[in-house]
Formats: sequence, structure tokens, C-alpha cells
Amino acid sequence: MRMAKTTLYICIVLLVQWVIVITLPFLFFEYLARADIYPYNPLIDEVIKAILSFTLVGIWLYEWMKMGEYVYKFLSKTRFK
Amino acid sequence: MEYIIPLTPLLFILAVLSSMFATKSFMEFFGSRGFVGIDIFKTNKPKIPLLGGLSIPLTIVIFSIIGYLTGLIGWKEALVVTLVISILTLVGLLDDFRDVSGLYKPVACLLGGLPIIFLHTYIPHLDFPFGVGFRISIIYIIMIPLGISVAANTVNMLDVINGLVATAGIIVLSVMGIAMYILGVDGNLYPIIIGIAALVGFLYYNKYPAKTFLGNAPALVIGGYIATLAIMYHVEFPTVVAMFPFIHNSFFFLNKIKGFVEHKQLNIKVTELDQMGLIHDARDEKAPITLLRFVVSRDPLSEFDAYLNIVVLFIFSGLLAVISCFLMG
Repeated sequence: MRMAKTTLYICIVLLVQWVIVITLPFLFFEYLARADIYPYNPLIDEVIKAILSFTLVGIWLYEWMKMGEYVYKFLSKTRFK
Repeated sequence: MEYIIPLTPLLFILAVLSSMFATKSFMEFFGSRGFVGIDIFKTNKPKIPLLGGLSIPLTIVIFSIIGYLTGLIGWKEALVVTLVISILTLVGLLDDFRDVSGLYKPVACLLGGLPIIFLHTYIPHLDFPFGVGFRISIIYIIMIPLGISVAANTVNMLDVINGLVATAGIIVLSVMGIAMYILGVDGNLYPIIIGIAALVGFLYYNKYPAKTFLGNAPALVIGGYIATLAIMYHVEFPTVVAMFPFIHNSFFFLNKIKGFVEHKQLNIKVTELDQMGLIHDARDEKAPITLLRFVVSRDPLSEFDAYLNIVVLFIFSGLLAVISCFLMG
């Protein structure tokens, strides 16, 4: 088997994303879950929390893309046509 | 219930053999009718029968019914699995036989979540490492069809080289089984075992050099089945971690293409094959940085080496998922 150097770098990208995803709920979601954003209606409260959570997940995925792109460009050392 | 212990390994072997037989039958059926695709990562560009992977939904459904009849799983589990797989197979077959828009699959696959909602085979609670957990009774119901659709389509998008999706599916399902054991999930491993058996039987014919291709319908089924079991057995978080390479591949694709576009409608070269049979990065800045392109971006690789490198990524993600379970426990 020929192990590509890129595989090792992708493993590092995945490891960083894993660290983020295991600490993110701990840092933010727990605070969000306990907070009463809109205590008068539990449905609205849950919807607001869901929007905030999905936004955070979106930011996480965007960061993943940017990190991946950076590593790809670093590795390929290519001038695109 | 002592008979359950020897029965599961026996059914595993039977499921592998059934899947192999069904794969060969589908392969011959579609091959003889000219329903073939070109294996683009071979220098001689052979024509390979499509949809051999239909053995996977067939095997899982038949052995789920057998599992119910032998008391290995409950009627709800068997029914949910059968319905979800049937819906996703129909959605995928329409895509295999007709030219449909890129948006069709993500939208149609949402239907796959309905049996789980109506039969209430979910726990509206998300658990994360370090004891963090949330009860999201309303949002969870919305997340079920989304989860099924995302998982089904993300698996389908990585079906680019011989044997990859089946091998990745086996790794993810194995990790889910380990996660269920570590987390002490109330449920048995039978659905995981028959899923693995169906994939092993298919992989025998799909491994490099492939004698048959998977097809859209079975690829959607693999992803949908993984998501269904993750929801039913409440192992969502470890499953997401185990599926990291799938997520990496599909979101890089979506990020670049900015929409749902069928691979066959995409007029951009992502990778290319040289005369030595090595896969190169096509170096087109408009092309998405798919996982395969990423892996071969520095050094060109043969198809088999590219397969092994991506399998390493799945094993690595699987290990992270197992560590996550210990952090959750």
C-alpha cells in the first residue's frame, strides 16, 4: 500500500474538527440549553435555540471547508490553470 | 431465549451468502440488458453492470423480516427498516432510470424519515461527550427527515471508486455496534449485523477490480440505513463522527458547486487517469475538492491505493467515534 502524505494531513483536519465538535456543545450548547430565551412559549424558545444551534453548526462546517481548502492548497503547491 | 445467541451468527452467514447470490443475479440481469457503466479509473475503460448493489436493500429487508419472525427484533424495528429502505430504494431507482434534477434526491429522501416519526422509534434527546445532553422534542422530529436525507446523499456522493462505499459502510456500522456496546444501548446488534452482512456479500463483487457497480438506489439505502439505526438506537453523535470522511467529501462538493448538481451533469473534470493507471488531480480551480481529489492532490495514486488511503480515513474517524463513546459514557 502506498500511503499518501495528504491522507495524514486529512487525518489532522478530521482530528481538529473532532476536537471542535466535542468541545463546542460543552462550551456553548449547554449554556444555550439551560438559558430561558423566551420562557412564555416553549415552542418559540426551542425554535430560537435551534436556529442559533444550526447557525453554529453552519459556522463549524464553513470553518472545516476553509481549513480543508488551506491544507489542500498548501499540499498541492499548484498554480491553477 | 437461549437460541438467539447461535442464531445471529448463523443468520449473518446466510445473509452474506444471500447478498452474494443476489448481487450476482442483479449483475447478470442488468449486464445482459445493456445496463452498464464505464469504469473510468481503468485504462481499458471496461463496461461494468450497474445496480448490483440492489442486493443490499433486498438482503436487509428479507433478514429484518426473518429477524422479526425469529424474535431477534421487534415488529416496529423490522417495519421501520423495511419502510425506510423501500422508500429510499424507490427514490434512488427513479434517479437511476430517469434524468432528474440535482435537487430531486435531497428532497425526495426526506420521505425516508416519515416511518421513523410515525412509528415513534426515536428518543428526542441528543447526547454529546462530557455528559452534555439536550431534550429537543420538537426540533428532533424535524431533524429526522433531514438526517436521513443528508446521510443518504452524503454516502451516494462518495461512490466514486471500486468498493469504497461498501467498505466505508462496513466500518461505520461496526463502529455503531461498538458504540452501542460501550454506551449500553437498550437494543440488540442484529440490524447492524445484517447490514454488515449485506455489504460484505456485495463487496465480494464490487471490490477492486469491480465486477458490478453499486447504483444510486443502494447508495442512498446504505446512508439511510446508517441514519435510521443511529436514530433508533440513539447513537447519533458517534455515527456522525464515524461518517466524517463522507461529510468532508459532500460539503466540499456543495461548497464549491453552490447547489445540488448531479455528477453526470457536472462539466468539470475533478480527477483524471494517466496511461499508467494513476489517478491525478485535474487541477481545475472550478472543480470541488472532493476527498479523492484531495488524496491524490500531491502524489498520483492507483485506484486501489486511493481506496486504501480513504479507508484509512474511515478507520481513523471510527477510532475518534469510539473515543467519543468513552467520553460520553
